[in-house]
Amino acid sequence: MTEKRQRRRIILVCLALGLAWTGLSIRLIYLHLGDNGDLRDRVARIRTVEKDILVGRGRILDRNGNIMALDLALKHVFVDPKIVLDSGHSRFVIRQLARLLELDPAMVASKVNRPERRFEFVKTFVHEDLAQQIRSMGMHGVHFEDVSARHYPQGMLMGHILGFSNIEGVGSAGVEQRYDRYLRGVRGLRVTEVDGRRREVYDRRGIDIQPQEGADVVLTVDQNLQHFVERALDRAMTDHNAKGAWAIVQHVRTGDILAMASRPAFDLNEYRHSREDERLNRAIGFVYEPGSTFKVAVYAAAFNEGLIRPDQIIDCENGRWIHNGRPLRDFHPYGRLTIADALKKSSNIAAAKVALQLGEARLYQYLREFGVGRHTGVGLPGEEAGILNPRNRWTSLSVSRIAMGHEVAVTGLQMVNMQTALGNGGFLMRPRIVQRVVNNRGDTVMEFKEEVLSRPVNADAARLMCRLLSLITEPGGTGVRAKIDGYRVAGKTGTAQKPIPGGYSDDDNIASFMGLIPAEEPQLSIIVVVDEPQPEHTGGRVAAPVFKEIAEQAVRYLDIPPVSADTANRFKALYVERPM
Amino acid sequence: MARRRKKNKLRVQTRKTGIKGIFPGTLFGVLLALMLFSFSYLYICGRCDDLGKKINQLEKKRDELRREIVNEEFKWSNMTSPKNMEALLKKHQLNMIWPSEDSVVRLRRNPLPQQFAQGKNTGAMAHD
Repeated sequence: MTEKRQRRRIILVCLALGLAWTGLSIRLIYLHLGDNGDLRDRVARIRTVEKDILVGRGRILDRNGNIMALDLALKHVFVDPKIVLDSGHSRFVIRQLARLLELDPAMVASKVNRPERRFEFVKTFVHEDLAQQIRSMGMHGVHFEDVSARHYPQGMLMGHILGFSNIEGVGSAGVEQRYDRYLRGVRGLRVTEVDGRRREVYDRRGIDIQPQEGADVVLTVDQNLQHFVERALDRAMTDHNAKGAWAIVQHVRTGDILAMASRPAFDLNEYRHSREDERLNRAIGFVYEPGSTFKVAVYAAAFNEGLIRPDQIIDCENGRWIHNGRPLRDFHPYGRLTIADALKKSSNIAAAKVALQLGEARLYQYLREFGVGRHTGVGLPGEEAGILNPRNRWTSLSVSRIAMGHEVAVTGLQMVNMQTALGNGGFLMRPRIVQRVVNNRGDTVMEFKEEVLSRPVNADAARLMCRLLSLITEPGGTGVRAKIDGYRVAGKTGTAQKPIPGGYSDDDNIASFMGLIPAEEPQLSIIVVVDEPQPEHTGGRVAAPVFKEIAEQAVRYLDIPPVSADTANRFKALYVERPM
Repeated sequence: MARRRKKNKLRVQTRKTGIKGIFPGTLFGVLLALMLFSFSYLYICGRCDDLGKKINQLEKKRDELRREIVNEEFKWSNMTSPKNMEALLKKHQLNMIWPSEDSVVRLRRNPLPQQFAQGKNTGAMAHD
């Protein structure tokens, strides 16, 4: 009986097991082969992950490969207050986080002492090294989130050239904006499956479109030279209580911009807190009446036409000349001067007479050829074209006023480029600020070659102008403060009253100086403009010393030697000053 | 006794013949092949899985190294920035000025090797 019962039990157990297995098998077969698309879809949805593969923006490098802008891998530091409080070390965590992240302990405590919360940011955009330090302390409940942020290691340096990219990674000013298409890169896409622990199952990777990293933009600017220029401008702003100042250093033969600075400036890493006037790149975006520096174009044109000679005598009317019923004055009264001396002394009357001799049509044509009233095409957003009214809007006084840099508006870049043309045998180059764009494999995607825009004057006229301009930095000239030991500087001062409604301001001026160095074989073309300097306000007193400070360092840094005695003598022979 | 032994022998032979009938060599071969195939499949699956994990790890490592490179580049550019250089010079009380033009000695490349090179070229052209 017992044996019988035992057998029955075994049979029952076997039957139960058999039934269970059969049921499971049927369920399994149903799940695999049956019509249960919904279930399958649900599983697929849970397991399938589609993620964008983000790429960093390309870097911006100076001409020597120094990094001016890059995407930096940073961390957001956050805490899980519940875990921190449960661990019993909350005071230690608060103290350490406050110390390392340089935060107020009370502020950190206010974030940690919230047991109902599971997530609280403590600090965003923390550097990797600091994050590593925090991580190494092994504090429970302290976590990190990977983020990438645009960073400008040099802070303010080159700010107006580089521009910035906004929080969404879109270039919003300067090179960042103009070359955004190349810098941004193309994000990738990956559709893949993950396991129960949300780890990717590599062999289930479906779509895998690799991202294209952003390309690097190589500038023509030199960070050290830029630093010299910015330092000199900062000093000028303080010394002369100026409203603004800007300067450009251009390589004469190629038209490359070696430095371009504008003041006031802003820290690129804090661009959100900057003012609009700080963000303005005055070197290309501020138009002003250039004053006497503009005479350079008028004299060059007249020499090119063969209308005047340097030793020709011109009557400067003792400082007051009535032309078309309106008086024209000189800063200092002069009688009869040679053309060379009239330029050296910066006589307005002489410049007006030369321009009148040139005539309306030719003057207009030359100014257009010199790039006045046209964008230079430097490749930066926000460039102004300046103002050169069409001839049909000129009055009977226009020629005489334009000759002394009034009734016309230019940017600093246009002026320096005009001067560069004189140092470059008369060839007006397109100013270049970006050399090339290089992708992450090192292939050049885009290269900017030297480009001649026009040739307003011939080589002889250009060289003669260099010689006459070199007299301006010699004793008796308006630009003696720009003279550099061991070098001859060809330059021109400019002091322009600022236009106000109904006339010109008596107090507010724009002082400028532009010069070529070495004058005999120019290699660098530099302009310095100071807006509303006080109390001194002339180009010779305000801008020329700044030019000297920049040029002195530039020739040393770039190792530009003075020319040989032979070259210097040949240059001097172009025009020999004779006492009147 | 002898009869009994003969009977047992016959039973063993019969059993052997029965096994052979139920489990023929061909089926055994097929099953063995299937088994080998399954094991190879499992092995390859496991290997792929391993390689996949390894690739994932390497990809993570690559990204990490990229981040490290960027961080190092950042540190380097910070260190070599003109502002930092000036601060360091000030910290160590070093007053540096540019040498005056007459204190600069410029070393030019010796023209001799170039002349040799030119001579060589001329010779080669003459032979051509």
